[in-house]
Amino acid sequence: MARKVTFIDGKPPYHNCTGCRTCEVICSLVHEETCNPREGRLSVIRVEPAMNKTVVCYQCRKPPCGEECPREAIVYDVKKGIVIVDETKCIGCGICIEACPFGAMKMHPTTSKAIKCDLCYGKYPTPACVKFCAPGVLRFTDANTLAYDKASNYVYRSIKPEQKKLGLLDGPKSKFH
Amino acid sequence: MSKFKGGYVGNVLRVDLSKGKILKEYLRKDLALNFIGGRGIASKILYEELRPRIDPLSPDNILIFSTGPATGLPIPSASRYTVSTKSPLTFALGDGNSGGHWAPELKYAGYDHLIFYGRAKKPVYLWIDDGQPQIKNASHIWGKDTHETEDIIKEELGDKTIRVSSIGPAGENLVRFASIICDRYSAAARCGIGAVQGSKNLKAIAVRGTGNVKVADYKGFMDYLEKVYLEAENLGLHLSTLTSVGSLFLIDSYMEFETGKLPINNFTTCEYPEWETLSAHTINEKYLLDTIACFSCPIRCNRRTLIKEGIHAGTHGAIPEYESLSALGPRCGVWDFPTIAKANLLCDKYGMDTISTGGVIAFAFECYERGLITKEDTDGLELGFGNAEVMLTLIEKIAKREGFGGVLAEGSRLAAEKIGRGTEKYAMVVKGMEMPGQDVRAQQSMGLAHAVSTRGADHLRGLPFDDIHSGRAKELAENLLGETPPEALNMRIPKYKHLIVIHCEHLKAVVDSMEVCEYQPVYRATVRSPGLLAEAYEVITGFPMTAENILKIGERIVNIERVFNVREGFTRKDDYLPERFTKEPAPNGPARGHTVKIDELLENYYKARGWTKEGIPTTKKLAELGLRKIAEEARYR
Repeated sequence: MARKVTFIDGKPPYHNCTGCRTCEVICSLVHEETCNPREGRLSVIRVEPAMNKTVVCYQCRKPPCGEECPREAIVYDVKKGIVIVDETKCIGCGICIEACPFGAMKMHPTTSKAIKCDLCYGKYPTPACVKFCAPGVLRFTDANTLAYDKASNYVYRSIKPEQKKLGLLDGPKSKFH
Repeated sequence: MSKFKGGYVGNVLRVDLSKGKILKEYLRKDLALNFIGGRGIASKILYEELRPRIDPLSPDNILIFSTGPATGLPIPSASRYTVSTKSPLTFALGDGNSGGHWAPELKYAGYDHLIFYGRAKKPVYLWIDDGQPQIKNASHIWGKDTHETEDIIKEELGDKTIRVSSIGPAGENLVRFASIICDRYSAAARCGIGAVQGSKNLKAIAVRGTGNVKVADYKGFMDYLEKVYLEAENLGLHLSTLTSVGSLFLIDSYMEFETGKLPINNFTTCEYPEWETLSAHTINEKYLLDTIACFSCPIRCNRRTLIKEGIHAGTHGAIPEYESLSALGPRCGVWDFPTIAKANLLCDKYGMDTISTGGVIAFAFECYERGLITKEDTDGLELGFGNAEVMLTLIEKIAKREGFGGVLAEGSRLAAEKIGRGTEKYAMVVKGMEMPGQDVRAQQSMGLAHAVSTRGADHLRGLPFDDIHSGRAKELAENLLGETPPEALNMRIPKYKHLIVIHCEHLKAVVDSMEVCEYQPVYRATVRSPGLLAEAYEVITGFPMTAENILKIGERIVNIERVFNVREGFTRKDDYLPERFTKEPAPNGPARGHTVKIDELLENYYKARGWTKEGIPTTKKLAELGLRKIAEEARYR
């Protein structure tokens, strides 16, 4: 089975991230049973003017965070398909945050251990953030399905209006549009 | 140790600005149980702590920032906070409510309420870094607009994740309808709360919170979330309208479908042939840049625009929502979107309520057109409906209180008193506050809601939108009356409308006290069943709650606010709409020939509420609501 991860799939104007931070809070609820976006395993970044984006771990096969970790606390678990932090080994140095090219690693505000997305493994059937993402920007899928969908959307956009009228083709779909 | 299992963080911060002292105390459990939070608790605190008949802009006034038990949780649209005080515009109870990301941050920092007393000797701002609040010097940012203030404070404190709410020059200059702005474009605007903050020399409140907000019943809460998100998807049409065009769908609804509620030229007409220049879809197609959401909101009605051409090219800001658009647009006779967007941006930067700003300018325009004021009064400006450039000039003059702007900065009622010459007739105010963009002659229930609202003319206290929509009107009538008489379904007939308003006022009081947004899809569902709100309260806080009880709390909140106003001297005489709505029939449009039958509505409303004919809550009623002590204390009867 292909490896599934949380992807960010959106484009302006309607399907873009809106910066509502629901994913961050839901994540902290699932992992900590409290609400605190700073304990969420992903981040929502808002840059004025009007630019929002979610940043989340892509579960790299060769995770730079793991390569840099002095205690080898971060490894890619082939069976589960996720990059895991071993909390007993983590010393809270933060070098993984330095190493991650996306800024997807975070430090827990109270325990000071590295935290990252584990795709809700063993806690929730699919990643909870994906389920509660109202604009439908977060998607839990494997890379090639995403590629196929993006390619189809690209092709759909280049179809002539007369062909669209025939109604035989499925347009891009999202939760509310 | 907090007494609360979830929802509330359990702390209140009292800041005495005169002495520079900060006191942290626990949130009283009786307040939480009887008034829920947010607006409810703040109104009770105002009643308890404020001396009657003080000057709202004196150091005696207090300013309360309140969050509710839902704030900071991923419940749809739980992003709001209320700022309550005695209003300098209405001299009654006043509050403004705003979304954005500031309120959740305050909860994460560990506070439910902030209460400000006194007046700082020089400009200050409050910096709350989790458990460590401190008062800092703000002399260098005094005079800066809200956007600059936010940037400077973030820069100074060295963290871009800090959230700032601040006042602009209008608040500093004590413009009587100044607002408080957070996240650049989210405004707690009504009732002139910004002026009270300005009078306290408090420029801003910066917050960083890294703490938790708990929920009492984790499993129940997760189930509840799944349920409401499913509910939201079931409400697909309503949600997708709000999602794609925000509240602007009201423009189309008011002009296109037999409602006739858009105020044009200070409510003098209801028709405009080229209204489609401002239709929601025109704006979307031409001016939409992107959609943005407040904290935890699936609706994302907060949208941004970038004007690409014309004299306002380069203007970047929020797309005005319906009320701002109608006040700064059609109400002043302006139908050019870029100008309205520019005016809206100016109001956000200076920190002014868009509804009152539009209202007071429209008032001046009408007076000028009727020859009651002349160029001598207006510093040589040629006023008149549709004069877009003058409108922008006036906004700046009001914010800076320059010349004629200084007169208008007092609000329509006080400006009319100052000018005299019969201009009072053209001030569209209830209790001194400018009417929002609802020509209430088209909808009796809305007229009543505006008249009896506890904070002056306001559509959000009752928000009886459901009798416009025939399907929802039917359900609501069935729910309230057990049958569906044709009068209840016709929004132009006063009969039964007081029941709709009362029911909606109770629900809205609860929604405001939970601090969720009125556009929340769940609230839409709760118009038919308050059960969802009660369930939310139960899983969040762990306190038992039923649908009947939640409505009872709503009633208690409305009554305590009414008692506050009665203590300030407000009675039935203040519950009247401007004569335009009660004596001049609508000149044209779908509601042609209709007026608001205010006496009949009030009569029924007071009776159903258990108040006297003068609109004063009886001791019996207050005792029934558990406010016996207040009834005895007040002894106003």
